[in-house]
Amino acid sequence: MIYLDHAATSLEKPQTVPAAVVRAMRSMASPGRGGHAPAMLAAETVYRCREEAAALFHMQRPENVVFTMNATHALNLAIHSLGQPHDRVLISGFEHNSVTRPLHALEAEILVAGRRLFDPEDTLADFRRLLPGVKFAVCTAVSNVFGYILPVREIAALCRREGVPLILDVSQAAGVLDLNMEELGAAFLCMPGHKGLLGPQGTGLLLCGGDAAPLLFGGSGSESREQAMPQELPDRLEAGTHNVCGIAGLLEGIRYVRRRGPDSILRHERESIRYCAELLRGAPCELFTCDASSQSGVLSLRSPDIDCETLARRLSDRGVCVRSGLHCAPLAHESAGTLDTGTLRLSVSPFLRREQLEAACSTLRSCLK
Amino acid sequence: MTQFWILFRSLTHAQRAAGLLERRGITATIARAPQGLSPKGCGYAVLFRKRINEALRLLEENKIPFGQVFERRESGEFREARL
Repeated sequence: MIYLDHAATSLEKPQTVPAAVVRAMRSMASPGRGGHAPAMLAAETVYRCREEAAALFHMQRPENVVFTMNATHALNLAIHSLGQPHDRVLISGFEHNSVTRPLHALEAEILVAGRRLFDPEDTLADFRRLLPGVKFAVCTAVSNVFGYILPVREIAALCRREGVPLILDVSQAAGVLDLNMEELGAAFLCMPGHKGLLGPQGTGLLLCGGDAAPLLFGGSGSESREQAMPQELPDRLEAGTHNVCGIAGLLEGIRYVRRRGPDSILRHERESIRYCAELLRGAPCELFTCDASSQSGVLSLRSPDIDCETLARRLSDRGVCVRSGLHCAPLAHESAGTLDTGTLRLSVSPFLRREQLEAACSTLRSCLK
Repeated sequence: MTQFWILFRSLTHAQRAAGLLERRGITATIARAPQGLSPKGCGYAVLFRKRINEALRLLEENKIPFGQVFERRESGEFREARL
């Protein structure tokens, strides 16, 4: 089996990740719910994970690292914290439904900036033009469909200049791009723990640049006489028992990423995608690639004759795992002109080998005939 | 020997504080605060035995919010620290 669906979730992980999950399951209780050894061991592990995440994103305050169930949960928290019904909000043309659906639920007035794929100048020009007067902005750092790396540092600078709070969706960027939370000055960074950070599913992170409002209310293990949620992070946003086993695995995933370095991982993934495009040159399909440095380890393609779902099924039957359809990002497809057909998406992990790519591309060529 | 107890509302803040003190060579441990010392219920404390003024300065410099500071006598009695 060759797994090319890393953008959905990481399947291959460092060995330390599942080992930590099992160890946590066998030895750890609930952090902040007791002073006994299993509770304190859990608390120590959870705090180490906050520290590692803070270090990866160059944050001074580990308490501003909040654990969530996934990136969608983190994005909902961030949008709920900044948004009011009917707010005017600016988003990029490559956002996921995890951004657009919460905004639609708020009945926000949504302005869309940058509809041209792999064109950072267009994206920036639109942000510059549309930012004044919006309540806040939401921008993905990397498109989950096309691997388009948006110019988020420049967008963050524009937001700072205009005084517009920025939510960054770094679902496809965490572990791949070196992002500095303090320099970006973003209000929130939202991400899953199970993609580029190589942790287990059911983990996510919300990095807070400032105050945030809870979505869930309940026990936090602190200030128990009070009926309002605590004011301080992370307790304010972490009601209920933590996913300690998941967090223990995520800690090891982040440690791996820090040891290897996001730059090195991006280089590997980018080289893999370029090689993939090379192997598919001349095949009867449209490849969505760019020559510049605006693409990560994600490659979309479509056949003029074969539906992407049929192609994905053929590949799956031959042991190649890819994602097909709209990838929960109809806005990105609309921007790229692929809404009616969808695309077949190949996304690579830091562990993928060249011979696996060669085999997968050879299989894909035969499926395209 | 007197033991200092600095109170925190959040376990995470107590952990960050203990880590900072440890890095400065002040051995510190974390415990749940006695209910009688936590007016809002269920708080945490960082426990250590020396350099109280330096410890408090460190917490302030690093903007870690903390509550009352107590001294725990050999007898087990708590008294608010005079600083």
